[in-house]
Amino acid sequence: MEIRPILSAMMRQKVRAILIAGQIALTVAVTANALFLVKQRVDLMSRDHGFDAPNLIYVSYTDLRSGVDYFDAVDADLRLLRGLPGVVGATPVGAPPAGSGGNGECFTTQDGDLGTEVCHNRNKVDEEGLATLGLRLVAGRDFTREDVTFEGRDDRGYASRAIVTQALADSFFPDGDAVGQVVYSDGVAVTIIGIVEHMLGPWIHDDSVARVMLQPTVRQVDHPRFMVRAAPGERDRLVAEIEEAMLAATPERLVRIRTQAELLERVYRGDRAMVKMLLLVVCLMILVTSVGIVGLASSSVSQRTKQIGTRRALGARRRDILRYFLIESGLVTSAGILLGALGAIALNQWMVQTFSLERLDLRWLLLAAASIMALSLLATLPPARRATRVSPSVATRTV
Amino acid sequence: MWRYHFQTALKSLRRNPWLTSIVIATIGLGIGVCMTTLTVYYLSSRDPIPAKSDRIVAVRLHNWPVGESPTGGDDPPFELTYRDAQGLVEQGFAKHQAAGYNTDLVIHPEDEKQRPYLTEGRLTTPEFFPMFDVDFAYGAPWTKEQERDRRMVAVLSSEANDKIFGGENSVGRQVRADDSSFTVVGVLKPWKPLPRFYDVNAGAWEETEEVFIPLSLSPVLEARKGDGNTSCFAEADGDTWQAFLDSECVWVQFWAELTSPADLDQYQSMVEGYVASQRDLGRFPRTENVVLVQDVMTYLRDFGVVDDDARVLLGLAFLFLAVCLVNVVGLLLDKFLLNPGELAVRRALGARRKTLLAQRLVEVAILGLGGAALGLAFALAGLQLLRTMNVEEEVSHLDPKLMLVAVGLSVGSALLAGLYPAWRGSRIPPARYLRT
Repeated sequence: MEIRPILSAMMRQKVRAILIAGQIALTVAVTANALFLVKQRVDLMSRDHGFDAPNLIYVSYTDLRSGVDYFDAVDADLRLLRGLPGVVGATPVGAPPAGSGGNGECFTTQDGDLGTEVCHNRNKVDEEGLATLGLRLVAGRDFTREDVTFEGRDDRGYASRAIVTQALADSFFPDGDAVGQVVYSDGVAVTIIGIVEHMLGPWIHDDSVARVMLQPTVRQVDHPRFMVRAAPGERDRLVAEIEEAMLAATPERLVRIRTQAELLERVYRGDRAMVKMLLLVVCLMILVTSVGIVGLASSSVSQRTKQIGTRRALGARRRDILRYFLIESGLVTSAGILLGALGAIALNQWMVQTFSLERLDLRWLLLAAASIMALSLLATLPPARRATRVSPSVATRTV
Repeated sequence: MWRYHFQTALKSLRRNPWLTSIVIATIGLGIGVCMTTLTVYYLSSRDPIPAKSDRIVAVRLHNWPVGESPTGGDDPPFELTYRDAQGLVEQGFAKHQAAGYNTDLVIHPEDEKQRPYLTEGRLTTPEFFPMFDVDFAYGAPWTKEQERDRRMVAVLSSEANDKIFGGENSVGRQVRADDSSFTVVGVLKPWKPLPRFYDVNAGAWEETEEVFIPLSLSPVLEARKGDGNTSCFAEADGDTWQAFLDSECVWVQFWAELTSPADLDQYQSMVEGYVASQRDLGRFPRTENVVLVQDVMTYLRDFGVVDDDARVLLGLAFLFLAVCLVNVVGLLLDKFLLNPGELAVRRALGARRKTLLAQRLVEVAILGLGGAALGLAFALAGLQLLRTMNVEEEVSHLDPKLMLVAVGLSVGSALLAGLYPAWRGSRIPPARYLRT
C-alpha cells in the first residue's frame, strides 16, 4: 500500500494527527505503569499467607475484674474455647497474624552482636500454636507443654526455644542446618527447635514479613489475645457463639472478636482502593482516547468525502478505502505508541526515584501498546466503513 | 457585547448537542478524577494547626548506637524515651512544652445501667492544652503542681463528658477509669485536629482521646502504651514498669511551642545542651545527627502521613486530565474549523478577528463551567466510591475550598484547550463557507 499519499494527506491535518498521537502516547505511558502497579498489588494481596486465613478467628478481651490470676484466667479461656463444638484448635497469641501489631527485633548468629544479623517478627503461642494457625512443620519438632514459659507484664525474658519460618532459618543459616542452632540478642540465647514452611508476620507491607519467629510463651498483657481455628464452614457460627460463651463464663469483661479475613481486609484496604482507582483511571483514559480516535477518523473521512468519491470513481475498491483509513490510523497510533514507550519508561523512572517503586516490567508496556493498537483500529472501523459507502458519483459534484 | 457573545455561544453549543456533550463529558471526567485524588491528597496533607504550625516543634533525639535507628534510615527516632521527654518538660526551654502517650482505658460510667467501655486516654503534661489551643467548655487544665504531685485528676473530651455525664458541667465530679477514680478538672470543647498530628504514631486519622490525665501518673498507674510503636535497641534494666520507664526505649511524643519560628536555632542549641548533660551519664553514643527539631508540617512529611499511593494517584489523575484536554482540543478544532456556522458570515460581514476570538472563548468558558458542574458530580461519586472502600471519611469529603478550585481548574483548562482552536477559528477564510 502506498504510504506516501497517506502521509501527505495527513500533513493537511497535521495538528489533529499530532494531538491524537500525543494523547495515545500519554495513554500508553500511564496504562503501562498503572497496570504494572496493579499487578504488583494483586500479587501482594493474593500471596500465600501461610496460616489458615479463612478459618481463623481472633479473640481478645479486657478483664474488668481486678486481682484475678492472669494465667489461671487464660487457662480457663483456653479450655472453654477448645471445648466449643466446631473449634479445631485455640492458642494464646502475642498478636494476631497480619494484624499490624507485634514485635520486631534483630538477632545475630553469634553472641555479643557478632555473626549474621537478621531482623524478624516475633510472636508467642503455646503448644497448640502451630496446629491452630495451620502451619506445616518441615524440620525439627513442634512445641510441647513443657516448652511453654509464662511471663509477667514487665519481664524482659525470652523463652529459650523457638520455631522459625523457613525464610528466617535460611537468613540466619543459609546452609540449611538451622535446627539446633542458637541465635542471640543482647545476652539472650534462643535455640531453634523447628522450622515451619511459611507464615507471614504482622506488618504485611514490610520486607521482613516472611521472617517470623514463634516462641512458646504466654505473656501477661492488658488485653489477652487468642487465635481460634474453626472447622471449615463453622467460622461465622462460632464468632457469635464464642462471644456468648465467654460472657457466660465471665460477664465482667469486654470481648472483641474479629475474623482473620476481616483483619486481612483491613491491612489490604489501601492496596485494594489503589487497584480500583488505578483501573478506573486507566479505563477512563482508554475510553477518552478511543473517543478521540473515532473523532479524528470521522473528521478525516468527512473532510475527504470528495477525494474518496474520486478514488472510487477511478476504480478503487471498498476495501482499498477501508485499508486507507486503517493504515492512516495505524500510522498515527504507531507514532503515539513509540512516543508513549519512551514516556512510560520516563514516568517509571520518576516513580522509581520518588516512591522507590520497582522498575517497569517491559511486558506490561507491550501489553499496553498492543491493546491500544487493537483498540485504535477498532475505533477507526466505524468511520472507515462509512467512508467505504461514499458513492463514486460524489466525485462528479462540485462543492 | 458579552451578552451577545453569550447568547450566540449557547446557540452554537445547542446546534451541535452531541459534540457539546462529549466535550463537557470529557472535561467533567478529567476534573472529576483530579478532584477525587486532589481531595484525598489535600485533606491528608493539610495543616492541623495553621495558626501555630511553624512554631510548634517536635524534638527528635538520637539515643541509639552508631549505625542503628528504628526509622529505617539513620535519622533520629520519631519519639523519645520517657526520661528524655520528662527531662525536656522539666527543663522548660520553650514557651510551652508537653510530653505524652496514648493508653487504653476502661471507663465505668456513673450510670450503673450503662456498660463499661474501652476507650483511648492520653497521659500528658498540662501545657498540652494551651500549646495546642484546645478550648475548654468547663474548668481548666490541671496545674503544674498537680502534675508534679501526681494528683488523680482528669480532663474529659466533649464526647466523653456527653457519654459519662450527659454533657453537664462535670468539674469536681469523679470519673472511674480502669481501677482508679479521677477528679474532673476540665471538659474540652469538641476538638479534633486532622491529622491527629501530636500522635501520628498511634494513627493520624483516629479520634481524639477521651480522657487526659497527668503523665506523672505513669509510674503509679503503670499505664501501658495503647496504640503506636515502642522501639528499643536494648532490654530494660529489670523486670518492672519503672525499669521500662528508665530504659532507652523510645515511645513518648514531645512537642514544644516557640515564641517565634526564628527561635528554632536557639532552642535547638538548648536541647543540645541537655543532650550534652546526658552524655555524662554514658548516654547518647552518637556525635552526629543527634538532635532534630522539626516544625509540625516537616515532622508530618518526614513521618509520611500522606502516603505515596495518594501522590501516585494525584500524578496519574493530572496526566488523565491532560489526555482529556488534548481530546477537547481535537474536538473543538473540528467544531470551529469544519462547522463555523454563522461565524463565517460575521467574518465576511467585517467582524474583527478579535471579536470572533472572544466569541469562541466565551463558548469554551461555558463548556468549562459545564465540565466543572459535571466534574464535581463525578468527584462526589468518586469520593463516595473511596468511602465504600473504607478510605477514611476524614480525607474523602468534598471540601468547599476545593470546589472553587474545581471550577477554576475546569474553566482554566477549558480555556487553555480552547485557545488554539478559537484562534484558528477566528482566522477562517470565510469564502469557502459562504458558497452553497
